[in-house]
Amino acid sequence: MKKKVLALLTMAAVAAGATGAVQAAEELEDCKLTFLSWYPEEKYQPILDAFAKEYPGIEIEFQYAAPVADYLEKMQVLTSTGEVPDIFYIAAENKTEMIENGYCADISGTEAVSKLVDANKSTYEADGKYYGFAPTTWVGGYFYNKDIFSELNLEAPATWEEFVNVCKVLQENDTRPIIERGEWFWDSFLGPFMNDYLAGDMDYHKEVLEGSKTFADGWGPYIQKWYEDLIVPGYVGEDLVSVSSQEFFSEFATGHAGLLAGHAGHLLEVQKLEPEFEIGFFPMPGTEADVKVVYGAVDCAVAISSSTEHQKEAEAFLNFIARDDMVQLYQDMNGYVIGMEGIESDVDPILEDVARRYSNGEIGVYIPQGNWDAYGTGLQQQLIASSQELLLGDIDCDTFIQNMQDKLAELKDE
Amino acid sequence: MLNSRFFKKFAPFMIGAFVLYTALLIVPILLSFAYSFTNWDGYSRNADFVGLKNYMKIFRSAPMLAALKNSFIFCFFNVLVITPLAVALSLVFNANFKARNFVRSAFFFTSVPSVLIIGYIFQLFFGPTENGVLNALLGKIGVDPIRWLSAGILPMVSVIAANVWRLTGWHACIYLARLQGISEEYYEAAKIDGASRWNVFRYITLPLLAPAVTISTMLIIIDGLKIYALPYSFTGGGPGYKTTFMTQLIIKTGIGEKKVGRSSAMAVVFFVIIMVVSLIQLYFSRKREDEIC
Amino acid sequence: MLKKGRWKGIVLQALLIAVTLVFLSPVIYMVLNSLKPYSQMLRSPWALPEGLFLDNYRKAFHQMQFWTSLGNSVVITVASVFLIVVLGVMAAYPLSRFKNKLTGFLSVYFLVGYMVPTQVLIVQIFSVMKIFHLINTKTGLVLVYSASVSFAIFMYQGFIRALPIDMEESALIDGANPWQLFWQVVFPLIKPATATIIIFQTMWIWNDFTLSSLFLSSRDQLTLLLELNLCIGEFNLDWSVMLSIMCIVMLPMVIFYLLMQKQIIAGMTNGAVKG
Repeated sequence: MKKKVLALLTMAAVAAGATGAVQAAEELEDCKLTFLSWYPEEKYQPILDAFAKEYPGIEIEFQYAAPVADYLEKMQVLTSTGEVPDIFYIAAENKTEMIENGYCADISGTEAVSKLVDANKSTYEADGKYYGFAPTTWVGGYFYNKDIFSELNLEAPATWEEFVNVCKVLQENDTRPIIERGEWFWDSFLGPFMNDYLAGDMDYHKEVLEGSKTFADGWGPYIQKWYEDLIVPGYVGEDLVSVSSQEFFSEFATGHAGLLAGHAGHLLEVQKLEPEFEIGFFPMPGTEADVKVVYGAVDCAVAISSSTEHQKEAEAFLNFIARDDMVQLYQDMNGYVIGMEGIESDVDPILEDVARRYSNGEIGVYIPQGNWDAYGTGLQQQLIASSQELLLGDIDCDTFIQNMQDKLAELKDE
Repeated sequence: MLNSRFFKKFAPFMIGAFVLYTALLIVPILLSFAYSFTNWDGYSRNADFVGLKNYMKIFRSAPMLAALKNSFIFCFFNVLVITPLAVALSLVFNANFKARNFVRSAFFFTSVPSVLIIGYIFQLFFGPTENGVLNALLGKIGVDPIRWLSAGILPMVSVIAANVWRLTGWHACIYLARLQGISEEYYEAAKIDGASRWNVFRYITLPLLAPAVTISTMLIIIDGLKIYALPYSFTGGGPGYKTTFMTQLIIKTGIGEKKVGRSSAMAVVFFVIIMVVSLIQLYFSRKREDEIC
Repeated sequence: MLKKGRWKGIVLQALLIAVTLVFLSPVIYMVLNSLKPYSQMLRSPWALPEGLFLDNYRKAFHQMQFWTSLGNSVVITVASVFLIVVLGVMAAYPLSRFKNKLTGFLSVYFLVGYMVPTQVLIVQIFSVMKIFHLINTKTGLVLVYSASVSFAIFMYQGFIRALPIDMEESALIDGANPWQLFWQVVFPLIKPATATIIIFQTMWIWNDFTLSSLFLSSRDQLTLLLELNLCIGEFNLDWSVMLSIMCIVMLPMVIFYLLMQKQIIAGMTNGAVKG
């Protein structure tokens, strides 16, 4: 029902917007815009088609590199040679360099940016100016196998204690408690950290980068807790370090694992495998039952090159994506939550609740590497390597924390 | 040698290769020397001179030392495993039997697909869960899943295994080529002397295969030091740094962490090591050639 | 007695074929499962496909830009191999026929490239390419590949040295044109080396991922292998489709291999004896 009303509203908005767009189109020059995308062409096609219809004079030359590593690599190569595309994506991992080194045009004045909610706006802000248009946010946590849960008389846990107990029961019944990929399994420590600590100090990572706090201050106790509660009993199994994305999905879909850590994008993939059970969702829990921060992040943002010869046309592309009907297409593409005022997201019913709470500003989102500025990639690589070593018992918790701190020092040094 | 007065006429023949090679190989090598004394990040439009700082840092960096060690272990064990397997296989290739062509083609075939594809396939094979191909098979005979890509030295063993799988057939063909060049007379003479099969192999075949061993070893080492796409698609360099090799670390540091200066220093160190290894190789192969001639 | 020997031979051969099949199992797995729906691949990976299931291939062709990328792969490989052969053989001739300081130096100079992994020079190569505006062009990538002439030069040197020199010498003394002498007399004599180089370089360039992935970005420039890499990632997890894409990407090389098999083995001989 809600969706229908929304569709009607959207249509009205399109009708109203269309005349405006036609007027604007007359002022634009015919040109070719190069666009390096974060999403593959098949997924972008509906938006590109609509754009081509509306602006026949502007041709989009579509390029794509797979996120995250390949994309960053390509972007770095392009910037170092001055071949920056007219339109491209910036992400948590490279936004700081891209903005600080002047590769991104200031788009504060565009209609697109003005439509965003604060969280989505400020993620790509520097010195009061906006450099990226990020229309969506992903929120995540644990998807669970409802059939297994009801069979074992389990309920979605609301606190860490309950969560650990769920893991225990699953393991006792020969089900792998948590499945996660080798580069990401560390995310299972986030629940208590986000809700018990970070919620009270959202600037924690900024302070770590500035040097007034350390990894030991915030992360330290929670890594220890994670180690004792989940790793030692084997709920986070040693074999997770080498789980590929293929097994990540198949293990859950074939009922071998009770919980899968992920977001809407992962849910889409799991559903493609047509699992024969119902899927539920709960956010990563803290010690207390009320969730304040969830696993998630504002998605990557569309930015315009500061050296483009077609800024106006590129802005037209941004504003086009920001149109109410287009942003719905954009949302269909990734399944995330739209961060634009007054627009409901058509997320999967499983995630409806958490999406609504985010849109209402009741909960924040967190992933570590989104807060590490220029050191994002380096620290993330360290996090992956050290967490794997910790899980395999090659290092202890203190060394893990020390490695993170050392890496930061090393990266900052130059 | 031709009379040197003709040299002028032929010298221009070398210009094309020289220009291209210099511009796209030698200049970049020199650039990495130059970058290695700076803190350039690959993004900014300027960089500072930092002297030897990058070099001092990398020799204290655990990942660098791990990657160096891994690259050596990888090369060493590839040589150690591939060489006897390939020699044995070449004897099979050389024997006279009906299915010979099929067996030859099949074993050589593994060097045909791109390493990228091989990495992805092996990732499926060595998956740690019950859905991993090997573990699923083991499960059928009641063996618990093996943590191929995480337990102890198994990750490195698995990567080496993948490379051995890829290269053994190829190298067997190098030996086969050599075997086919061995004159029948040796064997006939041995037959007359009543030598045992083992002795024929030990005292005739093996020494004659020696030059091929040198070449095969050299190829394995050079290929091993360059390895990149295999761990990229197979293990991603993990867990920890267990299967991170020099090439991957250099690219990670330079492009991922944006430390072009430091990654250039690593590259320089790596070049030097490769040079030394190659020169030693070259010295031995020259020496062997001299011995034979 | 004879009969016993024959039986032994048959058993041995059967054993050998079994070993070979086990050895090939990753390839068999790949082809087998590319012909099944993903759900069946998960359930019974080693079972034969239930009937002719080509849906994966249909999806694969739909997802990939097969003809464009195949064309790119062919153009890039052919052009690079052509340049490597021409530039390599031309440089190798004076290097192996004259002994002076310059040729002595250049012989070593060209050897350096055989040892240095190009992958670690990516950022630096880019700086050079930028000057010539060669980024995201096939020409640029072809030049990067062609710069690796070391192997060709090395190989040709061995072959040219093994040729008798008298005829070239007398022809030159009689005033023959060096260009014609080289291409009409010398070049045909070292055909085996050319064949070997063509085969080895084709296999390397066709299968290269690292360099091509960084030097090409627009969809219409991508090679087959890059198309494959586009399809793998967080957004696509239907591995049976992925396997069929891998099979498609591998196929041209397999055809090349089957056609050239004899020459490849002969090439190994050349490589092993002369290289």
